[in-house]
Amino acid sequence: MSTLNSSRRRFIKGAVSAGATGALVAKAPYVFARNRVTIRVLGTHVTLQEELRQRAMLELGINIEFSPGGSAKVLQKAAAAPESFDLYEQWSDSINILWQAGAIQPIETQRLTYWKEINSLSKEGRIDPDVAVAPGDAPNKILFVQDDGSLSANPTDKITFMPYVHNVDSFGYNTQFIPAGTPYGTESWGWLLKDDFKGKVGLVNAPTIGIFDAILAAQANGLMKFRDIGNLSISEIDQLFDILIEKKQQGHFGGFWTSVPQSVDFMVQQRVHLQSMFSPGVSACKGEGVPVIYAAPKEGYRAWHGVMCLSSQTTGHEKDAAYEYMNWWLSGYPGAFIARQGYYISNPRRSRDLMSDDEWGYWYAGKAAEAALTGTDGKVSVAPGEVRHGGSYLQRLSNIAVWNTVMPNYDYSLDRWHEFLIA
Amino acid sequence: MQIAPRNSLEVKSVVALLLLLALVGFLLYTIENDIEALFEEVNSAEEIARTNVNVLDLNKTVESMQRNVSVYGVSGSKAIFDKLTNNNQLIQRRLLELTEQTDDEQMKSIIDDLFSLTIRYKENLTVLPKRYQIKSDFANKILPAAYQSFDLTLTSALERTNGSGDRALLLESMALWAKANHAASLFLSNKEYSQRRNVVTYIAAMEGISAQLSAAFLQQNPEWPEMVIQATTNYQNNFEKATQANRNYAALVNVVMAGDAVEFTTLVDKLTDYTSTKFNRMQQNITELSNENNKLLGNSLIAAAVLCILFALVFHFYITRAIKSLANTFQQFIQGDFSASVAGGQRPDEIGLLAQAAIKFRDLSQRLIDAKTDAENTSRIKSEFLANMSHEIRTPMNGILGMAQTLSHSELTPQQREMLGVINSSGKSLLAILNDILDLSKLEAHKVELESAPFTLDEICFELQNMFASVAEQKGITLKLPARGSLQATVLSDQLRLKQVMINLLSNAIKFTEKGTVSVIISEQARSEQSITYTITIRDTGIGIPSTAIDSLTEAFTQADTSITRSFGGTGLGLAITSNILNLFNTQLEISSRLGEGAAFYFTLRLPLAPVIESAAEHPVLQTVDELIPDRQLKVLIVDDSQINQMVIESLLATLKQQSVTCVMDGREALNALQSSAFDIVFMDMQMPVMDGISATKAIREDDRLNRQYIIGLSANVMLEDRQKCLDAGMNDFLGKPLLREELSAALNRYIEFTSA
Repeated sequence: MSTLNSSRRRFIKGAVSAGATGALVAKAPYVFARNRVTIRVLGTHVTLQEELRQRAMLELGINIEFSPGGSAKVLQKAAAAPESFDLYEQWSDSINILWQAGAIQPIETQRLTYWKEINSLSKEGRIDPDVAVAPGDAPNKILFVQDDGSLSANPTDKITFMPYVHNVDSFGYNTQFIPAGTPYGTESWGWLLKDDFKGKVGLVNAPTIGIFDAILAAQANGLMKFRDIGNLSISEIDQLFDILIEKKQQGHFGGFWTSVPQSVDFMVQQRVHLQSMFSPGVSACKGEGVPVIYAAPKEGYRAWHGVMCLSSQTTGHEKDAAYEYMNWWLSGYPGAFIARQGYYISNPRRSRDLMSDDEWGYWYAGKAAEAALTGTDGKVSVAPGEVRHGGSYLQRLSNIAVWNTVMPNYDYSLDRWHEFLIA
Repeated sequence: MQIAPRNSLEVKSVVALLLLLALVGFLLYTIENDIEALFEEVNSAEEIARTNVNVLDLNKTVESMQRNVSVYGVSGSKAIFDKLTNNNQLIQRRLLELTEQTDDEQMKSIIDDLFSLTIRYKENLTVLPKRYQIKSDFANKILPAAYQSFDLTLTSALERTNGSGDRALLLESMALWAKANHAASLFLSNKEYSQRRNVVTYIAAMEGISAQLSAAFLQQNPEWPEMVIQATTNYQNNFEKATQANRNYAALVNVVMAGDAVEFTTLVDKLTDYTSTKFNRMQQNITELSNENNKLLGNSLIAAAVLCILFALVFHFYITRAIKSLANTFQQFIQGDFSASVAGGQRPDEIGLLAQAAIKFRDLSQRLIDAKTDAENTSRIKSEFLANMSHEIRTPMNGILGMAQTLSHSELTPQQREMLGVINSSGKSLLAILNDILDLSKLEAHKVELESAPFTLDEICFELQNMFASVAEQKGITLKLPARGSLQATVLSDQLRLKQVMINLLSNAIKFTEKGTVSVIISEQARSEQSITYTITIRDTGIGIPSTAIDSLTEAFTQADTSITRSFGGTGLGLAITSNILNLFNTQLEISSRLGEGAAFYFTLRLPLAPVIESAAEHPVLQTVDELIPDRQLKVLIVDDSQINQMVIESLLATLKQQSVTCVMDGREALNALQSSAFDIVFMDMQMPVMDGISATKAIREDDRLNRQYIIGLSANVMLEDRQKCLDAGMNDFLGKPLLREELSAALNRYIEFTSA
């Protein structure tokens, strides 16, 4: 890293107080720099947030273009046209596809400033040595690029993605219509397929994610058994989709969403009362006054790990700038920022200083909030006395049921998902 | 009298009608509003129906679009792709139309969402061909090329190799390579997803086989292992890319676009539901509005009807009846019954006014009737007074004149005879005055009726000649009369009254003329079968009459004002009587005169002609005294309570050589007398004590023995009624007092005729 960059960053950091996001979200002023490099970032609304872009441009002095979009669309665009982006942000289920498509190039861990601070979740597939690695594509299994070009858990100094944002997902439900359950107790994936909620259930229209919500739901209801929920056989896929299609034809599903804002609309308009949800969607609902709980199912969560990948076509100054952006993400501010949306960062301690004790206590430590906490949109998302559903970072990530995965029979599942969609 | 507005019927009626009008107006206004609202609802409903149809159209287009996408996925045909683009544009256009057609915010919001979906879909569409191309290229060009290339390598290696073992290995390699490719093709194009493993398996197997190649082969082909790895890596990479291309395309079409299409359909369903609900709600509204309208109409009509009935009832009871009652009352008033009560006098309204007018009318009428009655009473009293006076006066007059007449038939010295002459003429003048007064009173009381008897004007002129010739001669003036025999027409009229008129006028003319001529000119103006019209003029060359006096006189004649006429003429009453009598003849007295040049009094008279009969060619000629004496001796009974009257008659009878006269004082004595003796004639006075003339006559007539007694009534009352009363009582004849010898003689002769008939 050039000293110029570090010193500049230190100078700016000192000028900014913790938690004051709004004041600094202004148009990036003309920073006198050598070259104004432009990097194009392709990803989802989850991490491609305008405030972060502005902040990054301000701190890094580079031009950043965001192209947020729906999960599937973004993935297929990246896989087919790596020249259309420099950095790709999404989650780990993209890796196999992108790697196999040759859309991404390995990242050198030496160029990552905070590589050592990254915790064991991504490097070993579990937050704690005492926790078993959950089925599916655990991040470590696809992190390290081997010499033969394959990916495995075997550590090397070349990785397919920089681990940063991650979380455990479940489903969200509107307590105006569904009475609140107990975390890890009564809350269950099975609710998604319960007839009680017929017509008011939503699923995310992403075959690599939504299918796991369905799998966990089917398994929780005892509708079928899976040998390995991270790798379904064709007959298992058939069986699963038969169940799903039957449910669909009974009018069980209120809608399929493709973007987080759409998921928020579904809930706010009361089109659904429970659905696949992403954490920022839940926060946004609460901010709109809709009391949504992000469940802590007794079967465990569906975990995902965010990936930041480098396009196979990016070189030169853009590549340098890309590394700068990547390192900026683990430099503390973004971690604190996304924590207020309920996401975790791979090196939490670096972000702790930029969060209030109350915030850290709620978001990471599983403590009750003393005061009302606002989200990054300025709206109150946590009421005083509230405890993060599912508990602390450690507790939550110790309860993973499955990782988002691209299964070997993904293509078949894709076909059947389509059938399910139009049934 | 002003009627206060709060009391006025007019005001109340107007208010009631205005109320009705207001109600009707309100009704009309409400109905119109409701109808407008109804129309609006109906229009909105129409709008929704239209929208519904369009929306259903949309769904069909979307379905067609998805089908086409599937077809495109298989064929990649440009035609299909164009169809897709067109479909999408069509949908966009439809959506724009839809949003134009409606103002409903919720519908617009849904349509906006739909529009966003179509935009996204379009964006995806534009990406579609490229994705398809890539997929197709990989599956149909790149992968087969990768396969071909190594296949060629294997083939050429095979050709170069002789060792059977190697050859076999190479052949097997080729087979495996082909199998792998086949599996890949099945996976990529036929969706045989299980084949994916086989690709890896077969390639791994082939690599394994390749490792078994002999050292000799390897020596001959030192790059072989590297070539194998390169080929397999290349192929597998491309296979992965092909797989990913397939997935890309499939994901785009089957997940992303399909998701959007599904969402589109869901929103369309939402829209249809919304419009259906809205439509149903509108129908409900319309029905409700209609019902409300009907109810309102019904209620209002009932209210209006009730109001009308109320109004009619009030009108009837409060107004009509009162008016009717008043009308009845008035009718009774008109018929003369003023006892009817007037209802409604207390009311403060127009009817009250009417009622009070009725009361006033009654009072006035009552007073009028009373006044009339009073007047009649006065008139009657006057007449009775006159009659009484006349009787009172006539009786002594009778004495004077009668005795004077009797006296004149006795031996008298010339001096005595002269004195007697004065008494006679004075008496006659007095009698004339009395008669005039009576006449005028009778005329004023309208108690005179004209007689109707035949006479000629000739007779009248003859009498006039006899009456006035000597007076004129004495004054030295010439009297001219129509020639004897020039007026032979016999007319039916009142000779006496006409004569009276002419006497009066002639007398005045002579009186006021000192020298010259007094002429009576009678000229015939017209003649028909029934009547003859004369103009009678009395002209003199006397002192004349001043014009102012003429005017006053004329006015008095027209108005029958006797007060003025009395200021002229000898007796003062002559002209008054004349003018009154002429009014009875339906004509008017006219004057023409100039002061100092004489005067002419004239009138036009229409007299009915008497039917032609043997008229009395002989006019009553003044008979000599001798001819008056009847040729028989008659036994006469005189019934009169006045000794003077008795004496008068007795002496007059004596002059007529009638000696057999008996006198009694009243009716009773008369009856007694008649019982004991027979009489030829009974002269019965009217007014007597004990039993008056009428009663006595009736009693006589009732007596079988006496009822053919000839009775002649005597009375100082000369009114026609009295005459009639006598005749009604049964008297045969009638004489008025004072008695005249000629009249007495005539009556006796009439008896004689009567008995000889």
